[in-house]
Amino acid sequence: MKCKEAKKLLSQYTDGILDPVVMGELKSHLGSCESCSKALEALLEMRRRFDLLPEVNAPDDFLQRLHERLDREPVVKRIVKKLFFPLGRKIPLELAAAVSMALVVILLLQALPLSRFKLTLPEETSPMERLPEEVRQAELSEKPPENTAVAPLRAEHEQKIEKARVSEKPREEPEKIIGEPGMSEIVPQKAPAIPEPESLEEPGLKVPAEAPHTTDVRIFLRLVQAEQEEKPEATTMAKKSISEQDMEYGSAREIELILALVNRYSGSVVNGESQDSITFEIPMASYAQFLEDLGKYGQYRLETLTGRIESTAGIEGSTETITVSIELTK
Amino acid sequence: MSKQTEKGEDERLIGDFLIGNKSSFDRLVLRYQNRVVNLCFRMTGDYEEAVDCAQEIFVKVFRSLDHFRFQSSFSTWLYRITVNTCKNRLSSFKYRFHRKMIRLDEIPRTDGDCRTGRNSPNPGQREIVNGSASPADVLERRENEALLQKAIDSLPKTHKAALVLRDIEGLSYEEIGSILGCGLGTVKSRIARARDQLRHTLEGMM
Repeated sequence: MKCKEAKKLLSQYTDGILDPVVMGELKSHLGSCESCSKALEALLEMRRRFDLLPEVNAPDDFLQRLHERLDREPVVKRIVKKLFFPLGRKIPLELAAAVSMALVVILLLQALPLSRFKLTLPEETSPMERLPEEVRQAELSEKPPENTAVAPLRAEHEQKIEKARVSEKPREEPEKIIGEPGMSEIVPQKAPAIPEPESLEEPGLKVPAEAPHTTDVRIFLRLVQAEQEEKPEATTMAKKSISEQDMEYGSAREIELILALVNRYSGSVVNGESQDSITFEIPMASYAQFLEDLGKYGQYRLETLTGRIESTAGIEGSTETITVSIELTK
Repeated sequence: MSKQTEKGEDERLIGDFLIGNKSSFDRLVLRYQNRVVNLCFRMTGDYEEAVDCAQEIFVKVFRSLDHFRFQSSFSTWLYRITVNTCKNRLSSFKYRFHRKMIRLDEIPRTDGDCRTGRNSPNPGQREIVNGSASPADVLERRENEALLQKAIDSLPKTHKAALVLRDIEGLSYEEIGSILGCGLGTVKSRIARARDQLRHTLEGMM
């Protein structure tokens, strides 16, 4: 018998469960092999150590603690059963994970404002976004809108406004904005009235209901020399708060008065205060009253009117502005 | 008490319990609690862990005793539950984390010369009962015990279970086979490997 084989059998040899023939062979090998004899001695020494190991007993209150645990166990078990076995069957972990993921996705979708993504679609916003930039460029260069490349776009936009006006409920406002009977009047030539935000609604363009509160009217006022129109002066001049005689055309006094009027209606100057033109913005809510008061300073003729929306309507935090450029000729 | 008498007594107590006599279960617990706690202690190496594990085992027995089919002896069935519960404990993260902590206030309670724990008058303090051995002898013996337990702890779970059942509980190879659910050859092999590994470990420690 070889040492390797003999060492494998040492464990069973100490237990006395070896076949008598094999045991005889092993005994003869152990008699001649010092290494295997030492291994056997070490094994027996270890077995003696095991026999010396003391028995560890349960504590005295083991049974009492067990009873307490058994009384407590049904409550815990009932809770666990409710949580993990609601239908009397164990829910597969995969199903629980899928349901949890679905809930998380739904919660995330509810938390994000989906309207933001609607308004960024190119076909919805591009026609309306192009126009303001070009018209603004035309305003800054102080060229008549008809002579710029803006004209076709503006005409198209005006058509849209007209369509919107036709579709909306007929307004009761008169075409002429008149301060008082017999007073100077402002006669709009093309589109005198600023369309309500609702009337500008087109497919793909959403204007919130609260838009009028944040809507401004931008007015381009060109002070040009024009022929005085014949009008009855006997009554109107007396009723004017400021006499036209004091208002030299394009004078500093006139500009000052107009700016004061703009300030009174919470407006703001947009483009310069040159001698012959002023561009400013007026809140939509007070636009009609502003025109009426402007009429008290003189008789102006509205030459052009363009309207546009230059805002990303619907996006949280942005301010909606309706900018209308009006060129008035005295 | 012979094994056959013991088996008959167990079956009688189980029968009484199943017909509603709860005190029969208490008697079963009292009969086996020390063996279960001892086996748990040798498997886990921690007394409090062993007691908690033994409690869990008897709760399992209480809940599933009506499924016991009397095909094997109650002790074999109980040992099987004990070994499996201890293996689960050894695999659990809680146990592995706990084993990294050094316990300074608890010394395993053993019969004979040392008591500790909540039942002793001074918890956490040694109380030498047997005055025949000198303190040096006691200390040397305890060091040897600690070394041996440390060597047992270092064994793989399956080898450890076979070794403890054979060398500490004194069960036969056949009983160990039915407890561990493996054949006789496997049991022999596991015990032999465990002893060989343990011998080398102890030689290194010495």
